[in-house]
Amino acid sequence: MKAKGRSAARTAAWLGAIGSSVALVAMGSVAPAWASAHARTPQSATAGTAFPTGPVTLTLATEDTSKLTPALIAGFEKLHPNVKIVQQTTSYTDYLPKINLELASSTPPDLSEVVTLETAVKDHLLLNLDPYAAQYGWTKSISPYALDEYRMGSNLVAGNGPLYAVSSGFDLTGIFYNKTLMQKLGISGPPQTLADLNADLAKAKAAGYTGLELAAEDGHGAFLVQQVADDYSSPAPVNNWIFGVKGSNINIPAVRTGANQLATWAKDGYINADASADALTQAVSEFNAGKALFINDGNWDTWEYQGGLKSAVGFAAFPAAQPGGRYTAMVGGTAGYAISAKTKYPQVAAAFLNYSVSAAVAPAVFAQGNLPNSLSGITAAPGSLNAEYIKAWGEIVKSDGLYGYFANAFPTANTAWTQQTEELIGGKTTAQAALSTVQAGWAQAHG
Amino acid sequence: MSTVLAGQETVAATGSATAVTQPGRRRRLSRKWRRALVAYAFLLLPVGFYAVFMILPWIQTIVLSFYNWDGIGTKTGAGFSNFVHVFSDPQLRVAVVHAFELMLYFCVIPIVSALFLTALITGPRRPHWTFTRAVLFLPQVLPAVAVAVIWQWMYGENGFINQALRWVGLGRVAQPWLASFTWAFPAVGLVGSWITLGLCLAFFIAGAQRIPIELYEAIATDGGGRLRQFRWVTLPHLRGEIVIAATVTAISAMSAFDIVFVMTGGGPGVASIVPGLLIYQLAFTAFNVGQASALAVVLSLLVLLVITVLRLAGRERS
Amino acid sequence: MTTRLEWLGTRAVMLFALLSIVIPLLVIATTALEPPGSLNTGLSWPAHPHWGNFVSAWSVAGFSTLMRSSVIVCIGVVPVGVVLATCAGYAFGTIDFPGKRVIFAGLMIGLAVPYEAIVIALYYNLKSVGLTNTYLSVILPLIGAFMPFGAFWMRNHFAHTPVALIEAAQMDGASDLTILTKVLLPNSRAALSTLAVLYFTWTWNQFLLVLIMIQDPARETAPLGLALFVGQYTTNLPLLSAGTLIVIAPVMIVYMFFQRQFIAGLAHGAIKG
Repeated sequence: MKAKGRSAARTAAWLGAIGSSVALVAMGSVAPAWASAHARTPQSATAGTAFPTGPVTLTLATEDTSKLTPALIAGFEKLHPNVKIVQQTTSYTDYLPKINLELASSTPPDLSEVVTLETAVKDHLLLNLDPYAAQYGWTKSISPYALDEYRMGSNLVAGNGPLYAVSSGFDLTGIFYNKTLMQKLGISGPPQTLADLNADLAKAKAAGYTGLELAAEDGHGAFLVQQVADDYSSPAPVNNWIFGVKGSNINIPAVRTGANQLATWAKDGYINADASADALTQAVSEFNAGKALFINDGNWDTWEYQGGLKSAVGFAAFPAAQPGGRYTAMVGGTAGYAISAKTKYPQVAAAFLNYSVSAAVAPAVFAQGNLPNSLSGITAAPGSLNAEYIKAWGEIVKSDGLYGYFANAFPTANTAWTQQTEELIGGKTTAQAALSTVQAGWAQAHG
Repeated sequence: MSTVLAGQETVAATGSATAVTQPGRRRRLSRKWRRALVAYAFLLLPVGFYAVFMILPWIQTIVLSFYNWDGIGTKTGAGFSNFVHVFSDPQLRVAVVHAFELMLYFCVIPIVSALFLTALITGPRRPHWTFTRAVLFLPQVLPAVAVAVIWQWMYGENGFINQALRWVGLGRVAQPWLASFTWAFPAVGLVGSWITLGLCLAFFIAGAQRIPIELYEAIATDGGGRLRQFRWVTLPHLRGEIVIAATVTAISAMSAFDIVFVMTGGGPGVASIVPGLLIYQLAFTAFNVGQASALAVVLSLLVLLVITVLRLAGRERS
Repeated sequence: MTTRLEWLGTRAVMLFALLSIVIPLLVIATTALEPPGSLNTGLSWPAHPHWGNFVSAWSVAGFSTLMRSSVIVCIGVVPVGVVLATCAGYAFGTIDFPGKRVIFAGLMIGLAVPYEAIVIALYYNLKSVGLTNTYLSVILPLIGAFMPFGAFWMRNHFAHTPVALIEAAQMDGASDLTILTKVLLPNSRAALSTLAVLYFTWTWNQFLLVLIMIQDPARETAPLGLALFVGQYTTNLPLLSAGTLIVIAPVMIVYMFFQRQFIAGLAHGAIKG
């Protein structure tokens, strides 16, 4: 399991306010909005750069424990035998506190995974990638929405300004379900609406199963709040809040609906009683043990579910608010890498980034259960989780339903959300009070 | 640790002896200074390590508490605002209150239990109880992280605590203890009791074995039972040990970090948050070094305050 | 009659106290032998003990690396720490000198300061000289942090040596170093071994400092590795239990051989002063 899957803050927010263009691009296609035929091959892209021919060693700091980053490194080293990239993997809990301090040290890692940009941008620790974006044509080959997450202006608001990172692909959240249990409970398929979901949860409870397995200790309470809230809100207010746009507020009716729904599910006994002491890994193992009908998680845990439930696991977009309603998901870059401002080999690091976003690596990205930047030429076995991700992705894009993560709105957002959602689950606070506490934390960070 | 209490009187005694002025002062002085130079040479490295890696950072932490700093950029003066924040932020206040509540679990419960055990196994007869003492002392030497991991599962939904409750027919109170707003904090606290019980017991047994047996016999001659022996002999003689045990355990209560970090992370909500954890989070997750330092300074002062109070209490009665 | 009852009552209470310590350890030991992937089942003896869990835990959590780091840190801390504590103890215990009282009291304050109050500035200090993420960033601070107890412990020991012994050596013109190494240390094996054993345990168990100083997984020590292992592999409780036992094992073994010294060091030592 990816350590970063433990927390919602695992990646920076992926998409900005989704314009109408998404719907236009997506119409008639399930390919990602930014899927493009213009993806460059690394060879053509590196041409014209002063690429060193002598031995070069780069360090890469990451909290990605999957096989993806090693695969990217191996592929790149094969293309450039004179380059060696040393991967330093740290667990998520350790990575988040340390990376900015590492970047500020005298020996910063040349490449580093972006979790939050604010501190690094404020203290000028990262290289502005705009020249490389122009040189390699990233602005054409990658959707602007995928890049927005990694843009930040001097006002420390994301979504605009210089580009600081790019990602090889993206994750999305939804509902994993246990097909065997579903059949046993007489449920025909994954819930399409919140009403369906509530009916399924009631059936699960009546039969003595947990409806929704939840790892609230790792901040996944905020996942549920947000999934419901996203169903009721257009992306702009939520994503602006996540990006830190001045004057944003999370205490809005849609999010209060989500918070109230979480509290109600807890009160009704649809959520595991130990949610507030459950780490994601533990929740996943209990779901895999057949104790729960659903778990709200992201595709970064693909290997865990495939290994645990084998073919009995299914995935679907989170249910819509009402029949014919919008399908929504939290979508974020998979291990987006930035370049240190102090690196000796910016051109080599940039060439690595270009390789990591190219069509050449798409199969490797997809094999990890992540969706690559370009889905063209990618196939998934019918009935596999990957096929279901693509199906859900199409529905979500069609609904203009892409959102960043609540937990990335400010450096301590994950802690704040974890505490407040645990209080909601325990019936210790109200939606109104919980959200104003989170908002107070946001205001302290963004002024 | 306890040694703070015990150590200084002895030094005070030896120190004052050298200060007496005597004839032949000049020669003695030069010899005295020669000896002093030898002493300083021996102390150079030990005290140097201590000063550089303990005292210096401690003073720097105090300085940092008067600044706003993200750990990377430039520092800006903050006056007392970080301290104001410590006392006004409800979360920080809760943590400080918890530090005191932990003393119930780390000090009071183990000391009372250990006194009870001491009363049972010491007194006029002196079996050694070596094995029992060795086993009860064991948690004190285990890595706190491992202890926390073990107890995390003990308290789990299907862990041993709930299993035992079901065995005795109390299945309906079985619950995931660490997920409960009511029970998570006491559950963590009791692990503290589990760790410190053996240490307190070792203190008390050691002390009780030095009590002259005749004192017990005198009470017995007067027709007094075990209770009176404990009340009039054991307890008064253990006063020093109790103060030391209270001091050692109070320090570990107020600076608790490992077991909370691993068992609950301060949750659910902030139900088990403690200052140590908040200092870590503020300094290394929120990058609010100033506030973290202010809380650290407040915590240091509270520990020193508690120690002083305990020391005075011990002195007053003896 | 009453004494018989008393005796039984005492045994019963002591048995209860013993069980409260032993059961959690038994639970973890039996869980470590359950089939890999089992969920939390409390206390029950596995039908077919899976000793292989220890092997898997060792390789999955990378205990070879973790143990090596722990051993390196212990080797760095214990000998230097004990030697320096001996020097300090010699000065405090056998020599009268101006400032003795103040310096000793200053050292003793270190026993009371919560380590959380030290690590913040310590981290930035070591970072500024490029030492974070190295073994030295753990070793050097620990030598400093253990100094108050070490100095106190050795001072007590030397202060109890007969003055005549030292004076006789001085008459013979022996230097301080000779007195320390030839006269005092041969009689100090018990005190030194106790101190070394305590230093070893404290170093092995150290968590907060390693958590803050070390980022590179190749330099993490065993307790830190265990904490992170728990975060990543809760799916496999038997494996985690095995890992926990592996982390505990070295201190358990040392404790079994030196339990008298442990108790003497921590309990009696504090009182004697």
